Amino acid sequence: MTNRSERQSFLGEDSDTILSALRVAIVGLGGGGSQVVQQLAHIGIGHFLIMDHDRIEESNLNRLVGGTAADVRRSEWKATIATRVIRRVNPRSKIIVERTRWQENAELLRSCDIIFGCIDSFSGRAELETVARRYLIPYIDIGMDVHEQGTRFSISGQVALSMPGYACLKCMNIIRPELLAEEARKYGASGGKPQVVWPNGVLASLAVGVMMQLVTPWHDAHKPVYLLEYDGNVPEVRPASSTGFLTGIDCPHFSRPGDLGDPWYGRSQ
Amino acid sequence: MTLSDEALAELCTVCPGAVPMDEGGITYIYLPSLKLPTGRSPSEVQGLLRPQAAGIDGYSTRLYLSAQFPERGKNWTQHRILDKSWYTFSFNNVPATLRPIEILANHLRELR
Amino acid sequence: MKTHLRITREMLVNVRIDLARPHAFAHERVGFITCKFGSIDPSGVVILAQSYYPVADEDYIRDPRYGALIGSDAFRKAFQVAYNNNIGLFHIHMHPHQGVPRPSRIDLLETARFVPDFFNVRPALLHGALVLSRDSLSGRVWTSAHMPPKPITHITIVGAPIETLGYRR
Repeated sequence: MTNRSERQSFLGEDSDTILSALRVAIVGLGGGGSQVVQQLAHIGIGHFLIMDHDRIEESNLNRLVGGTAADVRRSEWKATIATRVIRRVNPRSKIIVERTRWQENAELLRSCDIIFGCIDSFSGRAELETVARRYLIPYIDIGMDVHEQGTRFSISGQVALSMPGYACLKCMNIIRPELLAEEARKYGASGGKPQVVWPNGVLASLAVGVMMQLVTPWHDAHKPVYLLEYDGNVPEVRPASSTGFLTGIDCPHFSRPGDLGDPWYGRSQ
Repeated sequence: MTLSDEALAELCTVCPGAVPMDEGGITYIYLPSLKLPTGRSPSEVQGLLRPQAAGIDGYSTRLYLSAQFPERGKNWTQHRILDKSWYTFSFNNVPATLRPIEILANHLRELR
Repeated sequence: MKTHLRITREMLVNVRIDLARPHAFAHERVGFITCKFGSIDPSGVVILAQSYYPVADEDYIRDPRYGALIGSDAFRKAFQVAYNNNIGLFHIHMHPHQGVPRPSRIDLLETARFVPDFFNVRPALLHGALVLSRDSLSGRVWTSAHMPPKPITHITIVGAPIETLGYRR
C-alpha cells in the first residue's frame, strides 16, 4: 500500500490495486460532477472517462470545483478543468477526455466499471441509464433541486444507484413521463435552475460513498441503498421510504432481450 | 406496439431495409437509407421512426435522424437510442393512428 | 483481443445453485449462458451474460467415463435458443474446488468439438465455455469456428460488491 493511501487502508489490503484499476465515467462536469471528480482523484481512481461539451461561465463559479476566474476569462472547457483537478492530485491517472455531448461517443462508456450521471436533463439521465443497463454497468445518478414555495425555498436532492436487475430511475419515480414531457416542451433546456455548492457537495460525497461500498466494502453487513434522499432544509439524508420495495423489485423497464448489449453487433448495417 | 407486415412492407418501398427494433418497451423502425427532400446535404441519412407516443417526451410520434439540419426543422436535440446518436426536431401532433409511411411523410415534410 | 465478461452476481448465484443440484446418474451438471456483445476500443469485446439455460435432466447420457455427458437434444435446444435470438452461447459447468478454475483435459477436448458448431447457428457472434469453481470463474472465447479459443481476459461480477477477477491496468 502506498503512503498516499495509508489512511484508507481500512478499505482492504487490495483496495489500492482495485481502485487504481477501476474505470469510472463521470458524465457532466458541473456543480455535482466536478465534486465527484475531485473526490475520485483523491481516493486513487486510476482510469477516468470524463465527458462534458460545455465551457465554464461566470455563473458556474459559485459551485464548479476547480474552476477559476481565469478559466472564465478564457472560456475554458469544463473537461479541461476536471483534467487539471485530477492531474494535480494523481498525475498517474489515465484520463480520457470527451468535450462533445456524451451521446456522440457513448461507445467509450462500455469499458467502464461505474458511470456517474451528473447532468441536469431528465431525458439525458434516462438515456444514460439505458446505456449503462445495456452494458451491465452500475449507474449512480445525482439530482439536486431548489423549489420555490411562495417566498421560501426548499433544497432537495437524491442519489440513486441503478444496478442491473434492480430498480431503475423509473422504478424510483425519478424519471417520470410528465417530467420528460415538460422538459421536451422546453426543447431539452434544463439549465438556469438554482444550483449551489454545498448540496452538490453533500450529494457528490454520498454518491462516491455509494460507489466505494460497491467496490471496496468496509463492513460485511453492508447492503446497498438504492435511493438516498436529501432534505437540504432540515438538513437530513435518509434512505428513501420506498427502500424495502425497491430492494425487492424486479425492474420491468430493462428486462427485454433487446435492452442488453449493442443491438447492432453482428448485424450488417 | 406490433408493426404489421403490410405496414413494414409499405415503408420498405421508400426505405429498403426498414426493420423494427425495440428499446425499453418502445418500438422504433430503423430506416437504413432515408432519402431527404431535395436540397438537403447530406441527401441520405439513417433514420429512426417512432410511430407511437411512448410517454418519453409528450410527442405523439417522432422522427430521429443520424444528422441534423439546423436550417430546416426547429429546436434540434440530440439523443442516444439503440446505442447510437440521433438528432430530432420539434414537430408534434403527427398522429400515431396514421400508417407508418404517412407518419414518416408528415415528419419529412417539415424538412423541406 | 481484449475480452471482458460481465455477469450479474444474481445470475451467478442461480447458476451455482442449479449446477450443484444432484442428478440421478451424472456426477455434475452443465448448462448454457446466452450472451450479448459490444465492441470496446481498441479491438476488444464486452461479453454480457443474459440468461441461463440449465440442461434438462432427461438430456444427460449415462456414461461413466464422463462427469456429465449431454446428448444431441440438449444441443438442439441450445441451438434453437440461439437461432430464435441474436445471442452467443457459452457452455458452463462447475469444478468442486476453490480458486481459479482451469478446464480439464476432457473439458478442452469436448468444448473444441462442440463449441465451433455454435457458429453454424450464429456465425457473426462469439461463443465459448465458462468454468466455475466454488469461488471463482474463468472462460474461453471462440471468435470463429476455425481458430482456437482464447482466455477471457477480464471478468466482472456485477452486484454488491462488484468483484473483478484479474485486475487490469
